[in-house]
Amino acid sequence: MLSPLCFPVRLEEDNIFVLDETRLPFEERYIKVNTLKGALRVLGEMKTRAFGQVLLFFYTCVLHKDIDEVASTFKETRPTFDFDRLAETLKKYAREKEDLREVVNRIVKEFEKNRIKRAKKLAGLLPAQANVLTICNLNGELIYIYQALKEMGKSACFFVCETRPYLQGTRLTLWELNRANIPVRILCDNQAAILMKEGAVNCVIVGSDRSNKRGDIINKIGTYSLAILAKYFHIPFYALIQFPKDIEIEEINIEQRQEREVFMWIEKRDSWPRAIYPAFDITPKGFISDWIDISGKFEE
Amino acid sequence: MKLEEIKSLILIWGMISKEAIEQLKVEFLYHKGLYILVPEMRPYLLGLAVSKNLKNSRIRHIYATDNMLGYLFYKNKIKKTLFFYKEITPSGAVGICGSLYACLLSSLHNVPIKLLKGGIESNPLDKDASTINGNLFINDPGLAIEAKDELVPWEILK
Repeated sequence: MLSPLCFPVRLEEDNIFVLDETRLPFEERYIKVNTLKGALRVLGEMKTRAFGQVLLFFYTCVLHKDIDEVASTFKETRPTFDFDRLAETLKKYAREKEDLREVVNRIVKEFEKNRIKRAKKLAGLLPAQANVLTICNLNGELIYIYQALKEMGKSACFFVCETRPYLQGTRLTLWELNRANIPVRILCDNQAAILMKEGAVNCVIVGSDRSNKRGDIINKIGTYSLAILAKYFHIPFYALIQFPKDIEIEEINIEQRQEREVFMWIEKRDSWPRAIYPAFDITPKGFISDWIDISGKFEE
Repeated sequence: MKLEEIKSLILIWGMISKEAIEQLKVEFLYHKGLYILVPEMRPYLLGLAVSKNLKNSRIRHIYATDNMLGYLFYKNKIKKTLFFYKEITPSGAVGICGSLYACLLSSLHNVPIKLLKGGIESNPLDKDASTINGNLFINDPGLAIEAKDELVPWEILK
């Protein structure tokens, strides 16, 4: 495997093993989960996210069986992500009386195949020397993009926003790209504008937790800033999306996390100031150059 | 604190000066629902020092990471930006790392920027994204982009 983050959650018999992303890059540790309550705990504590939460959802359904209950409780814990859509997919297959474990294994394989396809599609749009600005972590998808670029005779360097407060950019993306020997640099989130101005980056790639058919997306906090700045500097902004729905993006509940988490990795002082922590933001379609869907369908 | 509880914010970028703190005290007497927004200001974590100064002067403030600024502008929460510059040049104002980010986001959302001479910064523990609070997060610190003072051109500050 290219990176443990490509498949951060796996199912072995009646146990789910979740890569504890909050321990990376210092320790590669897996948490064993075998109940719905345990799954909700690791989700709530940010032990996994993005593709990891998709896998965690599917595998919890295999163990817990009640797909609706898993979907509603997962949604309560992480309201921004569309677990209903995953439940719909699973229920569609489950109605055909197939074994849920086999169905999930097939869906996961298909999903992975499509992530690689999506990476190839995007690589085709990037310049011969792609200097890519990115945020948070795409669970190995940047490695797929890099491989696709190499196959096309292109090259790339990734500029990763550290992504405060959890530092997913530093702890996950920089770590996985660096160990795969892919050119990478790390920056403070607020250095994005100066890099764009200086011409150090020539495209932006982000993921999305939610998207609608209009083209608006919800992604990790900081994404909107990159999008509006990219537009100002005439830099193309690409969004990797999955299952866009016919919804009003503004109606989606943006998860607001606990104040103390804003001070992650900073030594505790006497008292912290009051803080806010919206964990995601909204990027309207007008700031996005292209959307690359997991289904392989390319939308303009 | 939840976003819904906040009506108006004044964003501070750079090291706040003693004079500005005195001015803010007066402004706060007349605007009850107002908060100062103190961003983290990486890599230096200057926000923690600014917050301490504001706390000592009993000025209401809210702390946020730098990447939250865009969303707060998008939600129309920030009404004014106070940019504490280091130096004025014929091309614009020079401020700490991230000054272009903060001012450009402000300008793109039509939020007025007020220029004020910055206060004196203490010696920061962190010089770039490789560390936070002095703790190293990457094997090769050379992979971190150097944090430099940034010029904000006049056309953005207009």
